[in-house]
Amino acid sequence: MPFNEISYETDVFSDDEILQSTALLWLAELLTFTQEVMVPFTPRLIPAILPNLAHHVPMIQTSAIRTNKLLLGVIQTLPSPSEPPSRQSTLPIERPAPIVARVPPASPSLVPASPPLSRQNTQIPITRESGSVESLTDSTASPTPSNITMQKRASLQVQAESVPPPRLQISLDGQAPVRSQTPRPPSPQSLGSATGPTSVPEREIPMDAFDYQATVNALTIQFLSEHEETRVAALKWLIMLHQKAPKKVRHSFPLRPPFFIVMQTRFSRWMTGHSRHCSRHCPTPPKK
Amino acid sequence: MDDGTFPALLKTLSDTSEEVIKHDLQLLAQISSASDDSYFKAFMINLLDLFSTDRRLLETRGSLIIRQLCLNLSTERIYKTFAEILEKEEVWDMAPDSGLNFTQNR
Repeated sequence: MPFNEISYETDVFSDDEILQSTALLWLAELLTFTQEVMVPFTPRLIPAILPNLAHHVPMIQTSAIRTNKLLLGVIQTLPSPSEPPSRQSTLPIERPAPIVARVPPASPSLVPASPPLSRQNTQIPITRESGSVESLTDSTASPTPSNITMQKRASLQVQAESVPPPRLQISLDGQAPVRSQTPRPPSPQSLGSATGPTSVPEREIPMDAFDYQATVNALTIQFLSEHEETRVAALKWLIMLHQKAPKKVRHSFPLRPPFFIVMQTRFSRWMTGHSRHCSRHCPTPPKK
Repeated sequence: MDDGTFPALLKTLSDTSEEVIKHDLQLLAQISSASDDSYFKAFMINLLDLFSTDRRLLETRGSLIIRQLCLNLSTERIYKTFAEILEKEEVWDMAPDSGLNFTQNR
């Protein structure tokens, strides 16, 4: 049975349907009220949930569908990470900011997907101080959403400045953040900003707690599933992730895997070699 | 793994399920429209290459794939890019088929 992958919450025997269904329901319940704890585990939750979308036992299937819907919703409501890079891409053209802004784009190649974000966030205030007029016109040019994201970013900046080392750990290993960091850093802040910690859960989820790269990889593996529902669900996930963060997800669609290079050379050949092409097709050039 | 995603999406076009193919194309189109022109062209070249190596796919799903792409991307752009590629291609005997798809689509 391929379903023995559910070892996350409890050790479940692959053939014990009640336990398996209950584990999924546990995940669903946890997703409703401790989203910030669950988000870093998304890459590991996906292989536990998606294969069961087509489970032959209805109880497990419905639990999986519910859990999948909840997890998808949680990720969908995360603050979009695509905005800081796009803003940076506009900044270097205009002002002194480039020196600051150029540092983060260099890092993604060295470090896994998420750490650059935290750095970008910490650096944005610097650029904004240097060119405050621009940032103001920026926020007025784009309507309300940018204000919201700025608030979110502000709260994240506070978080990033107060506890930088744990955040780096979260993103680097992505494995064991729950007990040590993720629940903890938000709590003092939530006491400061809002009295009820559960009132605004989305705000407290650190952006880089969600590992795009690992999630995309986990979803890609689901393409191999024998179940149509699972494959469709994986694609829906990827569509959602790409809509949410086009730059991030596109990053993981490599522009140059080996066979792509072949295509590119072929492409450039017919782009440049008009004459050669012609000579190949007309081996005897017209003589006059 | 990293390098496997785009080929995986292309390979998924040969899926047995129509639903999977439609979602796959939606995603590919979404990525293409969010990317620059070179990505789109490379995608088209790869698609035609896939058709040329898998004739059965071309016959059974070719029409569906092209139509779905035309729903999500500019039909004219696809048509022109295909024409450019097919024009330069040396051993292509699929042009009539894909041309048929286009005329049906229009």
